[in-house]
Amino acid sequence: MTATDVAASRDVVFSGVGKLFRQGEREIHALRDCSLHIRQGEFFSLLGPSGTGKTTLLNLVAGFDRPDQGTVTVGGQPVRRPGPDRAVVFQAPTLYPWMSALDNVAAGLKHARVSRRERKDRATAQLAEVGLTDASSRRPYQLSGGMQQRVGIARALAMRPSVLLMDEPFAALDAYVRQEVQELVVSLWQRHPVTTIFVTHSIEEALLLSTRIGIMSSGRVTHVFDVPFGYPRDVTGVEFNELRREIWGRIEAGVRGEREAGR
Amino acid sequence: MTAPRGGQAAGQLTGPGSATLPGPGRRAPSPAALAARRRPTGLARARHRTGRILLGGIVPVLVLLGWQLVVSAKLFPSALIPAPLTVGETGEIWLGTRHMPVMFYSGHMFSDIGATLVRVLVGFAFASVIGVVLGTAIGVSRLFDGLLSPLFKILGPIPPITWIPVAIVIFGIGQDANFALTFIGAVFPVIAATAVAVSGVGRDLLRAGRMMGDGRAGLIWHVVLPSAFPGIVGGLRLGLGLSWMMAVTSEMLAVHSGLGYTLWNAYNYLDYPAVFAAMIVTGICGLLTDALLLAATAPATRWHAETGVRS
Repeated sequence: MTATDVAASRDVVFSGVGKLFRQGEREIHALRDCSLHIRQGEFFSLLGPSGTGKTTLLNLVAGFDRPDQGTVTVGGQPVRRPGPDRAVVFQAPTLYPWMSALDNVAAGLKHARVSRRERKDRATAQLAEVGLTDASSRRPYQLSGGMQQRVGIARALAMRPSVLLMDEPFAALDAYVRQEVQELVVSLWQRHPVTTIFVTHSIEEALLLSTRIGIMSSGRVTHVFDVPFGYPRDVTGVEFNELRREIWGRIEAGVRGEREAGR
Repeated sequence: MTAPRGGQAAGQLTGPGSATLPGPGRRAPSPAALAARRRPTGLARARHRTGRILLGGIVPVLVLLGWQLVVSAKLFPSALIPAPLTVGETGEIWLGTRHMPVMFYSGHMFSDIGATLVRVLVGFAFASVIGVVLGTAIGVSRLFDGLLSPLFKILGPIPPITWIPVAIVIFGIGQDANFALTFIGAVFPVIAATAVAVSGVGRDLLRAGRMMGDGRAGLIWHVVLPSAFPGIVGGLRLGLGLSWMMAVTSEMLAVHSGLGYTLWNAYNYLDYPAVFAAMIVTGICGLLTDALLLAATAPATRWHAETGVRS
């Protein structure tokens, strides 16, 4: 790899990252010596049971938290603070309730050096891309959960980030709506292949969406699986289910290991 | 509205197999029709508002009737408790629409209201700005909370009325003392409500703002204040009411104009109907300024009202 390649690439790299949370007297090692290399343009899922550090890892890239040990870099630059180059789709939609859907999307462009007119045009186009043209003047509380999350996705994408961070964005949606937004996310990613880090505890969701899957266990990424299938993916496919079983085995082993270590 | 709905019902009755019904009624309602159903028309909104006003009038009218009943039953000497109608007549003299008998307040109602209103508005305006700034500082910063909250917790329980001598000593008898007093009345509830509302803004909303590139000042302006605004308005309404109280009270004790002055003068002349009239006019003025405040802030609080508990 030449020097220009390194400068141009917007890879997300964790090296030797540790993060400690204190809850009163108790210390919780959310991450320990965690290393991971996510390549530019890939759809990477972080998969694992609750409390294994997935969201912590995501918050470090977002800049909401700072690592206690190690470094987190995006495109070679250490992450110091949150910024519009790393857009986040939150677990709860987290839209501004006092603004219309359109204004919410346009709010993400406030710090892009574009005119008010262009902000509005871009927000309109982005809402259309997630299929919400009709809802643009409605406030978040007038939208269903799935629609709110689509506005959240539109807001993130309109910022044209170099990394898109998604923290279990569909966990609260019912199965039908979830499938709809999953398909939307895949087609958006195919059209604009932005580096995506997707946190989920659903193996099936990770397998449906990602190009690679990292399994997390006690504050580390213990295994990384390539997902070699094209889109759209068939959840009943033989290879799909073989991979699902293999991943399930790894996660189970991790949970068992953690339980024995805890004893 | 009625035609398509009726058509639909007919369509359901005859079932999907029937092709005899004319087209328009059987189609799904158009987006425009749906929008119309969601958004009340001007007429419907006016009707709704009239309904609200009528509803709000029921209890005051009952109170008036009860008052008249107490007077008619002669439970108290009529010289001490005037009948509502007597109070109304006194109000007319004060307003200037009735000319006999001539009293010291004849035709002075609007100048009295104006004098008090100016005191209320100036003090309240200062209290709003300073209260929101200080409350926001306390709400967002542990440092300011630690620095300022103890002082406000000491000053808060001191009845605002006790500031009247202090204000007179410092500013002398005059407008400045009045402005200081209406300011003091309003500022503490505004600070307290703002601090509570601001400190309650959710972490995730702040993270969303930071993610979109807001720094500390941008977060306060774009996220914290809009999000806390419904709570801040609650504090402003309390503050406005207290400004009225302070204005009228200080006029009763130390100032020679305004509603409170007329009230106290009337009391000294044993003119109890005028005392009641001044009280009622003060209350109505408070109601009207509160309604104005609500109307002015409604666009920025509607999102909150529509997600609230009130059914």
